[in-house]
Amino acid sequence: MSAATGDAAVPPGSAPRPPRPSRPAQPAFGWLVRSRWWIAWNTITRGARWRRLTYAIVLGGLVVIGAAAAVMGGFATWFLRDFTARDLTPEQIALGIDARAATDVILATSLSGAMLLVVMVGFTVALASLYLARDLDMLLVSPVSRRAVFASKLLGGILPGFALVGILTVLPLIGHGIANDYGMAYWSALVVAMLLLPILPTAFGAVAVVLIVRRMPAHRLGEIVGLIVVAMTMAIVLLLGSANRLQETMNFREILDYLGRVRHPYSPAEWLTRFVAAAGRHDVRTALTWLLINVGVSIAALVPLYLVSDRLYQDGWIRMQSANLRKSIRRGILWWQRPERAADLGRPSGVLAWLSPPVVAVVRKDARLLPRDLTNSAQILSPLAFGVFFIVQQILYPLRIGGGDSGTAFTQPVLTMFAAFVASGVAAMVFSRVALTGLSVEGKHFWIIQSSPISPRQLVLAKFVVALLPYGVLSGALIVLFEGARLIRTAVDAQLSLTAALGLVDVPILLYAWFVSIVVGAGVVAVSLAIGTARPNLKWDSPHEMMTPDVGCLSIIFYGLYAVIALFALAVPGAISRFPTLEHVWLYWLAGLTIGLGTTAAVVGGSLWLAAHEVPHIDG
Amino acid sequence: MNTTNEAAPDGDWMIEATDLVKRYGTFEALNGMTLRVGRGEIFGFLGPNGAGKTTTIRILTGLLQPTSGRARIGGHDLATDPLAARAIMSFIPDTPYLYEKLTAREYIHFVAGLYKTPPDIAARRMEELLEVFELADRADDLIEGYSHGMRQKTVMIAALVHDPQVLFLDEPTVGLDPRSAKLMRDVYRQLAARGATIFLSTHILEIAERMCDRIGIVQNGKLIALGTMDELRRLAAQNTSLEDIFLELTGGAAFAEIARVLA
Ligand SMILES: Nc1ncnc2c1ncn2[C@@H]1O[C@H](COP(=O)(O)OP(=O)(O)OP(=O)(O)O)[C@@H](O)[C@H]1O
Ligand SMILES: [Mg+2]
Repeated sequence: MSAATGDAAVPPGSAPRPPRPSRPAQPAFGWLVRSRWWIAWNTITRGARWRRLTYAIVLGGLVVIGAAAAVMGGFATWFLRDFTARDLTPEQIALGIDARAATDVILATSLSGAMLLVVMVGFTVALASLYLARDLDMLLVSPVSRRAVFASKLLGGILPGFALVGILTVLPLIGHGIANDYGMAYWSALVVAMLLLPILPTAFGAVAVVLIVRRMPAHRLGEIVGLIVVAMTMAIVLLLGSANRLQETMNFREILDYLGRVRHPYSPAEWLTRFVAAAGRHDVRTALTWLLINVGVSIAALVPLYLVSDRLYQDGWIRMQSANLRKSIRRGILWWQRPERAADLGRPSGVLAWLSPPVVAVVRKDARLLPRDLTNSAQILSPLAFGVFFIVQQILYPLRIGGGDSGTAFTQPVLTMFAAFVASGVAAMVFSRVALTGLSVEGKHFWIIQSSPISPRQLVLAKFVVALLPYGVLSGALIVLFEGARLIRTAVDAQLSLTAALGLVDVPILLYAWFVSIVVGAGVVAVSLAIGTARPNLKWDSPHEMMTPDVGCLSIIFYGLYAVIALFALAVPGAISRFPTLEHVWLYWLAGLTIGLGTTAAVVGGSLWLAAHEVPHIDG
Repeated sequence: MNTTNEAAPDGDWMIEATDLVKRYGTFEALNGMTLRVGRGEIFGFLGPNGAGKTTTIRILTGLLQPTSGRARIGGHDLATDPLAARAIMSFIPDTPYLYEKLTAREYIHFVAGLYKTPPDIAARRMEELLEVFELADRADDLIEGYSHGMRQKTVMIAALVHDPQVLFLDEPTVGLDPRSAKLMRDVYRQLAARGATIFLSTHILEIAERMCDRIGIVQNGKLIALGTMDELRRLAAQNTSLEDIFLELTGGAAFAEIARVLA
């Protein structure tokens, strides 16, 4: 017998399979979910000590953040109630009007925020887990019912994200309940509300994904997700912007009213709010009414989900499988990907001329693979959306220092360095992930690299360049865009001509800002690469499994610590360099550059050295 | 058992495995694998499923660290000088996982870069091989649209472009049509005639019988027989075909059992 029968491991896209007749639902769903938990449990308990330590650190961090959230929720509630109670007249009190009702706005904002997050996460996660997972090929042809596959994939994708959103939502509400002296009714209602909360948005997202994929292959969908994210960002910017402006003129009462606008009568979050709030005040009839409404809505949302989960789901999947993969790479705007440049893979040239052929091969290989895989772009979009946010913000509500005179020359560098700060943050979020998964991305293909004569140092250097090069391009572009947006606003406000406006650009500071962001980027990328190399995950089926959450959290803790020190040290001399009254500016430069470049050199050198030492221990 | 070899003079061993042991927990996938293959030899590696063929090959190609024992390729120790050892060899695995989002040309150039093959030489050899394997007109398509056999050919071409001295193949002909399988056999023979050493594991006894200079039979992580066809025939006196030899040495009784179970 040959290995040809063991086809389960053949990657997707090999061949479309005929649809199976649908079967009645079987206990398979429970089995699929349980097997998922086994995998998760085994990774934690059987993991190395290193891994358990990371979980402990991450857990500790979450506890601290959680406690802070709970305290803040409680304090806000207490403050609001106290404030309102002082306003109540004796007649109102006699009528039974309760100051606690004013604090419902905290419930409403928490629940609305959670729901918005679930909608945003739900759509992308549903897409990734329902259609882009690699083991679907095997699952959908196995005799497990399609509904079971659908449900387990959806849950597996949504649950981790929702767990986090849920915890962050519940904590301030715990503080809220304690501050209001609510009893058992509130606590049980809160639990019920949290269970109901994700159903509607998840169902909405999943049904939308299934329906859209039926019309077009999931590969295209990534672009649509991008548009949605950008549109949502614009909406949030406009909302926050108007809040910003109101803040200057409104008193506390009016801000409260403004926040109260979240409480739209048609918002599902509002229905949950009314239920929990009524339960808290022992208003049994209202509470029961709203409970019934919420449960009814959730059930109603599950019906389309159930309908869609069988035939339509499989149709979409088949459509995707039978999408023409024989596509040429001739078209496309990324010029380095064209077929006539295939030989570049084995030849150092251009910006990479100083590197050895194996390093160049890996760098150019990744530069082709990353943009061609849309599952990567889904993760890149949210940080980029933040960049868009900042650009729009700069045009509509520009940052200013010291009142209205935005053109003061000596404060400009401060804002430029701030732009570098934001640009570094956005670029770091995108490309630290590229570095973190630098080794894991090789996955089952790792044998190619592992059996070839590329040295660990060369491999690590290649992965470092792969992340840092586009980081530099992106952060540079963002700095220019941020500054450009601010300049446009300044020019319009002061009614300057184009040339006069361009004259305001402080080129040396702009270049220095870019330099700072690249230096910090080198450290961030190196730290991420070291962590990702120490704990690679080569056994993934679906790309979003590449990065385990503990590794993600750990890297943020480490590179965050470093980035704050280095950014601050490097940015301060740049920011204050044009202050007219400052003496001994060179001292600031000396100190800043020494600390910033020194820590960066140590961090980059140490991280890359560590990573190179880990490579031989990776078992492919 | 015959562990000596007349094909290569002492000191010209291209593949040397000494007492290789691989343990997974308490399970010994390999226990004391020792073999040597000389320059220009085609060595066939046979054995039942789970005998340890893939494990041996993965250790010899540096993909797996042995629990103990030594492996040398062309005189370079895999533990102390892995890069020199890897530079002169190629590996073609049983399931060729390839980058789905590269084209065959890009993939082959990528591998050529890893082995520092000069680009013009790589390009020339690649185009020749693409023609020979009839892959040229699909070579600018993404690999994700390839059939199993096309993937196999892509790996094969990439493995040959840097002109390896040692070639490891794990079940090389799985998924190939008869014409391509024949073509590949011819290519191996040509390579061996030019001095390359070929180490292949296979379940197709006919390939082993017709192509290999020497054959090793593994069972339970150990070599149980080693030698030329003639030597193996002598070992199992009354049998003539390799299949009979194989079945006798590895316990052919199991096949009667299969027939009983399926009946
Ligand atoms: N990662 C692993 N963990 C535990 N056991 C393993 C692992 N990899 C292989 N084994 C075991 O080692 C033994 C040898 O496996 P190997 O893949 O070398 O067999 P093989 O001779 O190539 O078989 P086949 O002809 O089926 O390809 C098997 O019993 C297998 O179960
Ligand atoms: Mg095998």
